[in-house]
Amino acid sequence: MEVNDYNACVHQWSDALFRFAYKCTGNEEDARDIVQGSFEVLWQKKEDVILGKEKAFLFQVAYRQSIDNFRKKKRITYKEELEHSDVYSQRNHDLKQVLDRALAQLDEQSRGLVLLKDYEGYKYEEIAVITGLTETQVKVYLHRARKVLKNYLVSVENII
Amino acid sequence: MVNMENYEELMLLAADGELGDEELAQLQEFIKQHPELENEWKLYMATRLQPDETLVYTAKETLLKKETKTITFGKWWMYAAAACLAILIAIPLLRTGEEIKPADEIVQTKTTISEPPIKTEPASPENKPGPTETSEAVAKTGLATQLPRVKKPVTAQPVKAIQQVQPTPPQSEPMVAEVTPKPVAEPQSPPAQPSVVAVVEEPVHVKPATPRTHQDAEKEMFAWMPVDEHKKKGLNDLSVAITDKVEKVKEIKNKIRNADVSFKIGRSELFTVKF
Repeated sequence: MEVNDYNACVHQWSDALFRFAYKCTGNEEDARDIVQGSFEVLWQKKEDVILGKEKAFLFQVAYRQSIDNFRKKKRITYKEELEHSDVYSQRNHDLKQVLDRALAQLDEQSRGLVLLKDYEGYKYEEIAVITGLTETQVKVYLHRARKVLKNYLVSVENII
Repeated sequence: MVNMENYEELMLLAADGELGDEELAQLQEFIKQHPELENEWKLYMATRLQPDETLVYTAKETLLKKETKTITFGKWWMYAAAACLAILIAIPLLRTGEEIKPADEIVQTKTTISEPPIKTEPASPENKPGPTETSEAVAKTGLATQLPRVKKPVTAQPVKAIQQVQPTPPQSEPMVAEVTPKPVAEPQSPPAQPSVVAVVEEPVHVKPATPRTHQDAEKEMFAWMPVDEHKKKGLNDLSVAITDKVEKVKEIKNKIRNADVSFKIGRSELFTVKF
């Protein structure tokens, strides 16, 4: 990988990587650190990364760093977002925000799987490579996560 | 085939985007046939997250790398071998310049004239050397400082000096016996001996007492050589040419000593050797 290829990866995947890291950690600073760390690893391993597999490599590094970040902090909150949001309301039925809160209910592993699936459109086998799980495990964990999200949506509807 | 046992799994696969078009159509047909499953179907499809395009990484410039010129030394061993070879070639040149010296030493051939054994006896009227003997002794002692001489036939000169190249001691003795009683040795020629050039040549490395040029020394060396004149000239010319080459090598050596040797590949300098 040459310098030009690396810089192209920065322009192409830095935003998506940041969104993924931000949703995984729930913290903007942690997400920036993860993005910087992921690209730094890519630069160090530029000779080993296969051309065309840079995106998968970046998300693999970011996923592992987000898991480590979660284990260090032991919790994830969207408190900052909630406090700084002017449009937030307990009675706000915005599906996106409800889903964000539902996402926070998941464990770090399930959350990463859902984000890789929905945000980046990876297949089961690709997610298995990124996360180090088997394809069957990915499928089972994803289905469990979707049921949790669905039940949270049902509970919100019931409250409302 | 969709049924009540597998419809939920198919719904989850559809939410993950892993369901094929045919299977998706069958599932949708099944849901139409079972309206109570419609709400569950909508909830599963609502769990699909949509990326927030407003979230962007604003510090991309900190991630970018600048292009730098790099010189790859994939086959570094080739460059190392070339550098070692260059050094090995340079070392003999430097040492050759030190070893080559101007011909300070002059190779002379010493012309010795063997004498009858009248040498170390104290001077006495009887043993007093005659003028011829004197001249020979002077010649003999002066050989160390004199130039090599052309062979000269010694004929009726100092009788004692005359002796064959391969003299026989018995012959000399009678001559000595003849001379010693007389205060002044009269030159006596050997009765039945033709004039003999008594020359015993011994190459001797003698350092000149007085400074002289290399060319002069060479000329003197060539002068006594038993070769034709035109060949002597050729030898002289050859000697001059060799001397010129030696001087040039010395100049190169001095230049190398006063300069640095840098090894480059194209326009890229690998390293510099300072002498």
